[in-house]
Amino acid sequence: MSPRSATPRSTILSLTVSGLTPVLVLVAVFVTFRGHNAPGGGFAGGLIVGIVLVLRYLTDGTEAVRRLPVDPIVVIGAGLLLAVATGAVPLLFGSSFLESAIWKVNLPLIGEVKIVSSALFDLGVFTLVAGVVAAILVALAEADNEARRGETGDPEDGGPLDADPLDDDDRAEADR
Amino acid sequence: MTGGLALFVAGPLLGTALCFIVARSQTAQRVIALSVSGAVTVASIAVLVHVDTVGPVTTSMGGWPDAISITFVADRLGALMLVIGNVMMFAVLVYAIGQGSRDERSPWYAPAYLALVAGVSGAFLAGDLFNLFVCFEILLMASYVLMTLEGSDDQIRSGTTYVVLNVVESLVLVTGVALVFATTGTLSMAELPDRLAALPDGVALGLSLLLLIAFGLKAAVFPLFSWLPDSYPAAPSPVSAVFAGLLTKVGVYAILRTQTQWFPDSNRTLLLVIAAATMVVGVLGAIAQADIKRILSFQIVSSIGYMIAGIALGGVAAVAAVVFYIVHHIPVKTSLFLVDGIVEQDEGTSELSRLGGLGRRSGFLAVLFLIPAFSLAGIPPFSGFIGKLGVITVGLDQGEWWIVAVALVVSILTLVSMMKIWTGAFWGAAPDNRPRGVLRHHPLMSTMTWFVVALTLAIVMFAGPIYSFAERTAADLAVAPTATTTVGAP
Repeated sequence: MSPRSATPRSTILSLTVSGLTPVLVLVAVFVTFRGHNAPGGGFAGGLIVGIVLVLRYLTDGTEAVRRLPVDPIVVIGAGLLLAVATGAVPLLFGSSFLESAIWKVNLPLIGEVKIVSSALFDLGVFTLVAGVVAAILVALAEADNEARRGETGDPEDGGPLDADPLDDDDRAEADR
Repeated sequence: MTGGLALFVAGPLLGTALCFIVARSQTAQRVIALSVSGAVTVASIAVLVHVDTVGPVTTSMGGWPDAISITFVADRLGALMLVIGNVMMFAVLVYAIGQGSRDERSPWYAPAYLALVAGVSGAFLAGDLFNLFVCFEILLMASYVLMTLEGSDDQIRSGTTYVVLNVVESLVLVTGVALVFATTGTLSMAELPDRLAALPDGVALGLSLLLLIAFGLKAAVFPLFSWLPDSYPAAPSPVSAVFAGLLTKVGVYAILRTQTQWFPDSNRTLLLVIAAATMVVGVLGAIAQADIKRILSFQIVSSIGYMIAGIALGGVAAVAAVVFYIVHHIPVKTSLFLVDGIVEQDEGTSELSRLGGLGRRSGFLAVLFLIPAFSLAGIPPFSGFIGKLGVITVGLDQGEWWIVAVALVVSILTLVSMMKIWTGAFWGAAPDNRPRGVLRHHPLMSTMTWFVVALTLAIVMFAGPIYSFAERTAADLAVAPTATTTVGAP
């Protein structure tokens, strides 16, 4: 999407996305954990979180990814680490790679809950996929910024995104 | 050793994860990449020794029964490829760190490289067709990143071709996997030969061709080769060195396994014609080029023809020759690209018209180029001679005179294309505007090139033991591979 076509951004879209975000994150977590025996899983869940990020990117522009608290590349690494480590830990107990441990716990009110260590694997995949989407958005945002700098025709003065007056107005509007 | 073989994929992936987490520190990334790659290399040698002395190793994952679990099998062929692949990837990694080119300094380089290590190792160990596909995907994904990391226009253009063609290849392969499962009910490499033998001839032929197309595209055989000379030269030298040495060979490995083990009775005339066309087109393309990297890339295609010819001829002797040829070709081709990397580092180009007189400036570099160049052309006493001799002897034994004639002519033409590089880059006087003196490059680059060239010389020195190992490997492949997996995990 060219930077110009994104403006002026819609307040309605922005408010809708703000409202949808917690719901979508909940759905993502739900899909991830039901994935053990039913359609779903970490990949699908991670993609749903990715959709949240994409929607945010649509409403808030490059600002959305600048607000990210951690570097996506680290998130990818953490997800992969969790997934591979979950696979490797059984080796320490003499089981085979990727073997899953199963515990059954009786929780008050909820009843019997089955906890499997492979859920951690799914959680790793979830983190990894969400991190990849975030990394893609960061790359897009960088390209976007470069394109804008190119458009102003003065690479030295164009500087960071804040220098673009149009964009400042948009962000102010989105904040309201 | 319950976890055993899984670690060859899990270890590098763990390294990938750690490299991502320490993305801010390039030194930490390099240390992780080197130690993981080094450890995997050492472990692979241990596996090779174990497989040769004790017997094949099998690892099943997840505690599931064999038929449905992810299975890794190391037999002689797999273990041999694992060792040579990991040694090459380690050497090139050290070289790339020495060079410190723009793409190597990217935070994505080390993780992608380790993912490539995981994918290549996994492909050589996969015990069933689906996991072979998955490992292909891992190594392809990593190769997409490595190929286009610099993001120059040229890389993006040829990278697009590379990605699209490999996605098509994956589509054909996964279709083949699905059809094999639909017709035989299994994907286990151990069970497939028996199941496939029970199929009607037409169905088996269809499956055989489908897999041949998929792996043939990966191995760059005629007429599916055109992506290779287009995309490899665009990648940075260390990356194209490891691609040239290894990635096509993963395709050849898959063809070798499927054609000799699964479809032993199929008619090989087609494959023989493909082999001849691959050799001829590859070498003619190489002669027509005027750029070191492009000449070397076309020569890969030509060499793949020799391997396919050996596979097409069939029989223990031919397969032994192919295995030896693969073992020799990986370090030879890698070292040629590493030499090109040193040239490019100093001169900023690999176009022959802008090079010259390198031999006078660095005799060492000239020798480093000449040894693998003669070896590739098949000049005795270098390693290529032994591999080619094996294939040609089998061709004569089987009365396939024409393929022998083609192979010999192509050998001479290969030498011609090498002479083109020699006269263009190393001989004669340097262009006037060039600086004098020794070529500027990091010492690690020449050290690693020496190491790989020394490896090709070692292959000649130990040709006897290596060839007898190749014969044992071929004998393993000739007997039904059911035997390889019933010898359980230690």
